[in-house]
Amino acid sequence: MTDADQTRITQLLDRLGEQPGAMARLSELVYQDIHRLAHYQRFEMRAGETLRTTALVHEAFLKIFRDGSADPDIEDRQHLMRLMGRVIRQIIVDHARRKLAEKRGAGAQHEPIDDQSLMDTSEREAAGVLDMESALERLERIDPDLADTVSARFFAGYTADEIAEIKSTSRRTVYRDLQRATAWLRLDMGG
Amino acid sequence: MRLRAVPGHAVMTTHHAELTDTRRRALDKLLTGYLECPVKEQADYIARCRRRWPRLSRWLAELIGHSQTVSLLDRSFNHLASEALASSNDQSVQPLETGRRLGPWRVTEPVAQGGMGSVYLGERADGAFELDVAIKLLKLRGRGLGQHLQRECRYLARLDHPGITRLLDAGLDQQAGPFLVMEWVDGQNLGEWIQSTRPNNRRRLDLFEQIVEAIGHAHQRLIVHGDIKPDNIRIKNNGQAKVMDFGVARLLDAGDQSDRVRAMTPAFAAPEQLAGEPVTPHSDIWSLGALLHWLLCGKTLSRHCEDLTSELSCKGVERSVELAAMIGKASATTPEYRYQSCAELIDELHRLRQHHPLRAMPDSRRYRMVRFVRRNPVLVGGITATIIALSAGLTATTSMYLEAERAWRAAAAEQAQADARAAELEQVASFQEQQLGEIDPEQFGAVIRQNLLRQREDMSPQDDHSSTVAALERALAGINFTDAALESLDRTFLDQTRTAINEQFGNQPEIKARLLQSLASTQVALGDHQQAMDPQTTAFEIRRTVLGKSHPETLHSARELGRLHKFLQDYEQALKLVEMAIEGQTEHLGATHPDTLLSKRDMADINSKQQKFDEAEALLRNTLNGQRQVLGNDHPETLMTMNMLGLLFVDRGQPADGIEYLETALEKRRKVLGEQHPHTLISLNNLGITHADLGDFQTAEEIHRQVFYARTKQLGSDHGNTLRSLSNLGFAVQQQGRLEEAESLHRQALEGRIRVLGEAHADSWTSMNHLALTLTSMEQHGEAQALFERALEVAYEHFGPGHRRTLATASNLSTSKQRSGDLEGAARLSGQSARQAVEHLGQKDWVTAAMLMNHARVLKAGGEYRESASQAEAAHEIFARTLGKDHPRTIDCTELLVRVHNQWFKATKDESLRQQARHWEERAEHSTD
Repeated sequence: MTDADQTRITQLLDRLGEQPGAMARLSELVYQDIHRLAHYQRFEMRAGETLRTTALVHEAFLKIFRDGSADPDIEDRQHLMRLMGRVIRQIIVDHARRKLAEKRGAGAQHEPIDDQSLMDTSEREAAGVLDMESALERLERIDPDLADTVSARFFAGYTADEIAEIKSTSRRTVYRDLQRATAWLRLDMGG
Repeated sequence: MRLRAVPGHAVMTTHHAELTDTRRRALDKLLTGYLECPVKEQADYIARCRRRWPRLSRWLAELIGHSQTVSLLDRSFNHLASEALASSNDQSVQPLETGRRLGPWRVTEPVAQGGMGSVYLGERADGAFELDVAIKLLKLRGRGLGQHLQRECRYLARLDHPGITRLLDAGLDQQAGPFLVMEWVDGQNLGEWIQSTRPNNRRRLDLFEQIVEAIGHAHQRLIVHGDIKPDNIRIKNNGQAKVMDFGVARLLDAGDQSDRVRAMTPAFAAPEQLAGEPVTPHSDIWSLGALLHWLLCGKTLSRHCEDLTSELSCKGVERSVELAAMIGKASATTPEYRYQSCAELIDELHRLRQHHPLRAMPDSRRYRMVRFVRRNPVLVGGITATIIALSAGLTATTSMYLEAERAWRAAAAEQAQADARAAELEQVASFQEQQLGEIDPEQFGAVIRQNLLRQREDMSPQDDHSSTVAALERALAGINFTDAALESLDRTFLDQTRTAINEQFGNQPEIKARLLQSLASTQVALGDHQQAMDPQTTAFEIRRTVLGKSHPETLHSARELGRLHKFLQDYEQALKLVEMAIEGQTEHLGATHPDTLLSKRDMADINSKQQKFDEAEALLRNTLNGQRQVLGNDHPETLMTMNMLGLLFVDRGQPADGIEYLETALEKRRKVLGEQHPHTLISLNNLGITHADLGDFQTAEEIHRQVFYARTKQLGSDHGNTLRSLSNLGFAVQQQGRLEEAESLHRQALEGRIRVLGEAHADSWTSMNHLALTLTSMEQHGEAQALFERALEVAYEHFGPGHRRTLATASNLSTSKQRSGDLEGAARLSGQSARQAVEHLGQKDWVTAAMLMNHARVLKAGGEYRESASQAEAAHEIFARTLGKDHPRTIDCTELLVRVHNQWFKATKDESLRQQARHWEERAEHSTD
């Protein structure tokens, strides 16, 4: 974890501490979750994904507490986890939409130089994320709780074990849920 | 996770539309039930579902399939996530106002907002001197950034190259954060430049070379760019390319780590960079490959593009094959396969420009040949011209020797330097080996011939072309151009090399041996085994005397010499040498060292040539096991051994066992080496021949057709290997009774072979026989016999009177005469070949029996039963003794004996003959039991 990360987390915790009521109750839990992520980052991950997930988690915190300003009324860790999954998912999906919209908008101008039909990596990812978003929306209609679990896992970077702990259920159940969710998402994303 | 390029549900199959939410819920319950089921009961569960809910179960099966994929959907939006993060940061950044000071600099106008920060045009605030600069604000936070920036700046200041924008200053502003100040470049970025000037291919490549040079300058100073892309290249108005933002990627590494992803552009970033590893010169080379692709066709390089060549040629890029190979090598996924430095890449660009063979294209000899001719369009006019061309090449090489030798003598006093010289000499020699070894004499011969004809046409434009050219073609038909090419190579290039080695290194035995070994290897690579014998033997003997018999170099020479003896069919000698190599290698390298294993394989090959199949099999299996352990299952050498094991079975008359190995080797070669690799094609060809051996001509035909097309494309239609495939194809077609088609294929093959190899070549002989046999089946005896007669002449001259091939041709001709009613002529020939067989091959060779049997057949047709029976009996005895009494040929002969005696009885009514017929009949029946 870099200095910059540390600074931001400290600031974040300070802000949380300043919040009245629910925030005060939560700060301990939040602190725990952030440190869990930091720990995970330091010891287990290769450079890359989780790191970015961590950064996004911070971003999501900011968004939750800044945008919801007064009191986001978070009840417990499970609620927080659900919120985190949704917010990060929203940040990424919004960005993907913007990205593809820009691409379409810009298409006409530079046609001769760069073949616009060829997407770069993040554009392909953007398309994939939107694909996943539609599939998730379908999943939400038949099992909203499963959609939240899967968002927490895929977007907020919670591990299956953590999800099990937070939801007070068995690890096996979470694995099975994720398996079920993967099946539905893959089916709806066309393999 | 595999991502689809199109968002939404457009690709969904129609039955998805039936999946209403109600059904989904029901299905979800079934899926949950399945996942909760113990593994043992899952099959039952599915069966139960299928009975009760047949329609839903279709979905269930699909869902279960998807649920078993372990890979999760994460890792799929790395870049997007970091971009999302970046853009959410952006919203909080306020642009700097005009006139704002940053250290001694003043902002004059905003220029661009980028992923890593924003750029402003600026100037000196203190008016000390007039200078336009680019000020770049970096989105970096972190402790100790000030010192870090200064350190990096000193580091970047080492860059001083006209192709690199200079870094002038760097600092940390309390509010704005860290900033860099760079030389301002008036001009366009790469994209704009291409749009406005529409440069041709050549110009684009020149520009690319400038860029590579600049990057190379930095790499030499241990500075990596890390974000090479079109936006980072500016073209000044005088056409000079300037690379910007050097080392910024590295600077960003120091900041918040989540910024690292933002510091590169995914389309131009090497795979390892995308995986989060730090940037290196290798990743820069990857980016340069992607940049070259973009420069040439305006598209970003797709990481999964399988056919770069057609992509480039579709965009109208010339020399697309070579450029695609260059891009492929520069942007290889594995860093070790890329160009190892910018210098290497520049060298490749020069090779491309001068029509020298590219490093990126190692496999195609034809390609090298064509490049050679392209380089020397005037010289490669005919044989003499070729000699001149090669001599010119030689002069350069010989003078290199002389020069090296002079220098060597000058430094003789210092042993260390002398060693260096020897290493240099070896480089010269191995260079020569490599260059010459790449020449394919068959290809070369074909080129010489074509050029001769073309010259003739050019010289006499007034003449009646067709007749003079036809006359020349007739005159050339007797020449084997492959041999001619080989000879001219040998006489010009290698002869002088031999002399040079002897004269200049006579008193330095070790170097002499090394050079002789190299010369011999060159000749072997050229296929000139006879000529290689002398230098190879000398090299071996020198090494044995000077280095001792267990020195690795001696052992290497021993094995090579053994191989040579094997080629020249002196198996005893070959075996002795290879045994010596194995013994030494086992002792010094170990029994399972790859080199030891190769020697064992050589020994197996020799054994199988001597028909010692069991020994050969044991050795091959031993080699195969060793190679599997040491080199792995998919190593090309392992596959070669597997292929040889398959061929051994085929040779031994067990094609069905052989096919298994051949097919495995083929599959792996396809996978490891690719569909079109020469080894893969050899495997395929072997498989085709084996299928024909087993009587499956339909499969054989398919296979040979495939090989023929691939070789035509790779080697051209006039190459010996292509013609071999054509001939094999013709045989498979012929055996299926499609005679007219077979006739045309054999004609093509024969014409090609005469063109390339001359009439007096074993391959041409084969084609004459094939074509004549086909014509005989078509009852076109006139032409068939004329062909057989030509083939017979070739055989007499080429193989000698008692050779199996000569005998076979004579026997074919006699059959044809018999079928056309010329019994007398037939009998004369069959009798002659039977006598020659007895004389040359003796009574222990089944070919002699075949000749006797053929003669018996002709005699029977002429009513000479007594003589026929006696010949057939002699044949039968030999067949039974050499092949066994149950062999199809023996049985065939028994049946002939039955027919002869029956007809003889009919003609004479002599009862004893009928009994004899019955006796043979019983034997025939007995052996078929």
